[in-house]
Amino acid sequence: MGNSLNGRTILVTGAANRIGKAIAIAAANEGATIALHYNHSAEQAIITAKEIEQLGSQVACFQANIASLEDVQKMHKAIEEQLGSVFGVINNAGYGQMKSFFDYEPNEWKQEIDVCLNGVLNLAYTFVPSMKEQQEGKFITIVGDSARTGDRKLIVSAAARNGVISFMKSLAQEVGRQHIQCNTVSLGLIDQDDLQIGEDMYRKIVKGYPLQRLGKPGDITGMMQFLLSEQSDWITGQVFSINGGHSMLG
Amino acid sequence: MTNKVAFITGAGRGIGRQIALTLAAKNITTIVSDVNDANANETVALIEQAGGKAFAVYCDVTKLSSVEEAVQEAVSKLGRIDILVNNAGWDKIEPFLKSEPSTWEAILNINLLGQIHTCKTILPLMIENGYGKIVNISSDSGRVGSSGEAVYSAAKGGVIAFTKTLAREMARHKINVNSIAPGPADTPLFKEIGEYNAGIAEALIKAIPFRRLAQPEDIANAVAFLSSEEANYITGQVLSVNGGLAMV
Ligand SMILES: NC(=O)c1ccc[n+]([C@@H]2O[C@H](COP(=O)([O-])OP(=O)(O)OC[C@H]3O[C@@H](n4cnc5c(N)ncnc54)[C@H](OP(=O)(O)O)[C@@H]3O)[C@@H](O)[C@H]2O)c1
Ligand SMILES: NC(=O)c1ccc[n+]([C@@H]2O[C@H](COP(=O)([O-])OP(=O)(O)OC[C@H]3O[C@@H](n4cnc5c(N)ncnc54)[C@H](O)[C@@H]3O)[C@@H](O)[C@H]2O)c1
Repeated sequence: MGNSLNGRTILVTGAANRIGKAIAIAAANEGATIALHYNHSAEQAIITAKEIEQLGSQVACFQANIASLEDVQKMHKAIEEQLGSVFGVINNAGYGQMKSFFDYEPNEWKQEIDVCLNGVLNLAYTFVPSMKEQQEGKFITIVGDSARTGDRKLIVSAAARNGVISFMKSLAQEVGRQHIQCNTVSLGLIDQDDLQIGEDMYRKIVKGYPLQRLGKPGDITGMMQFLLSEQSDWITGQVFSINGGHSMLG
Repeated sequence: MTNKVAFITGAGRGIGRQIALTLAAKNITTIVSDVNDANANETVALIEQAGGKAFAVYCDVTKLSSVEEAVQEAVSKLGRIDILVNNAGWDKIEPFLKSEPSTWEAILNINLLGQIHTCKTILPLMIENGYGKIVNISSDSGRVGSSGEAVYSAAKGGVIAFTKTLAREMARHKINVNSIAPGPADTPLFKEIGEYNAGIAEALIKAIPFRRLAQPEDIANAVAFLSSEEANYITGQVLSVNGGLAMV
């Protein structure tokens, strides 16, 4: 347990379960106050919040559909009332379908773009202005490596997230003079014991990972902690992959 | 992380010195190697003053035999090497068409062959120990190019490609190989460059979203992260630490 985030409020979106939950717990372990966002997973959010409380950290849960700017603005107000100003936002919430583009109905792709791309825009539009006032802040977004490499079965979410990467770079340029760091973390496949693929398929996928295993949520938390800390204050506009070596770009 | 041993090249001054100080502050015993013995000894003294453990060794990265001797000396003292930071580097900024073959040779030898020499010598030790973290210092010029740094950027681009291939070959041995690409940093090298390029610092600062040069600490913190257990699933990657100057 460290104290690098003592007195800092960190918003993690989609933090009721899985990767978001692991990130929220790791930030709480560093002393952060956690604004725990969820959309549908109300019960799970409460369970996660209890776990965080047991670590001795302050936490509150906030519901929002991040595809709705109005929802995000309401959430912002509620967080500021309950927890004070937000130092860091981790855009973890995401939605993607795994299928060929030609199996989509017309406009069925809208929801993925609304969550993955517009969701990040909504959060930036709402949360970054108060960071500018504070002259500090960390705005971090998670994407998948498919956003950088393409993936025929993740064609829409990958496109939306490539847009996010570009948005994050422009945003970093816009708010650099207010000492706000904006960075993107790009993930390979993370195994959370629910992949629902056979052993043969698993072995085949792992072959594409030089470190010869899939990721786990714990592989991501160290990077998040680093990017939230002052150790990374000169790093902005960058995309960094955590992927066991699956792709090596740039 | 306790009792780990790090071998750092060009650790006599600038970024390398700060990397040694930062790793030593994390309980890592550092082997401070450089061609300049006096500077290396000064880095060791600074580490010891701060309560850390360090040894100086002479190492000219451009010569494989010098690297082999330095590594042998380090291993006979400390038994092993867990972390290698390839930091030694040098550049002379000038238009490519004005540059001389002797300058190209020096630049390629220090920046690219130097890292090849240390990896060739130290990787077998890491493989034997089943553990290793290598951080190669490249440069943003190797990712996006930089006027006046044609051969240097070729060498640093080479470092990046070398890093990725080693990462692939070494993954089975649980050795992570990554690269940090610094943007312009406030170091003795940069001051040297400023002496024959008036106004370069001011011009760069204007172009950097954070409106300042890097301090060696900025780079050293990122090296510390990549050489830690927190980064075990990260390999073959390049991280720019540049205040937003280039975004790849
Ligand atoms: N798992 C992987 O292998 C992998 C690989 C690459 C990238 N990623 C990315 O990493 C992040 C975390 O991964 P994960 O597997 O933990 O994600 P996940 O379970 O698929 O989704 C995270 C959360 O996003 C929230 N969410 C979805 N639509 C939303 C909306 N309209 N408004 C607000 N929240 C919404 C959900 O919250 P509720 O449950 O509360 O509704 C969900 O719990 C995601 O962005 C994912 O795309 C994951
Ligand atoms: N300063 C910058 O703006 C900048 C930007 C991008 C990348 N870099 C890179 O960062 C690294 C460190 O740069 P710095 O600014 O601290 O440089 P520096 O010149 O201040 O320090 C470099 C050190 O390397 C040593 N060295 C030189 N030749 C050597 C050799 N043959 N064998 C062993 N050691 C040798 C020097 O004695 C010196 O101690 C270099 O790889 C450099 O290319 C620096």
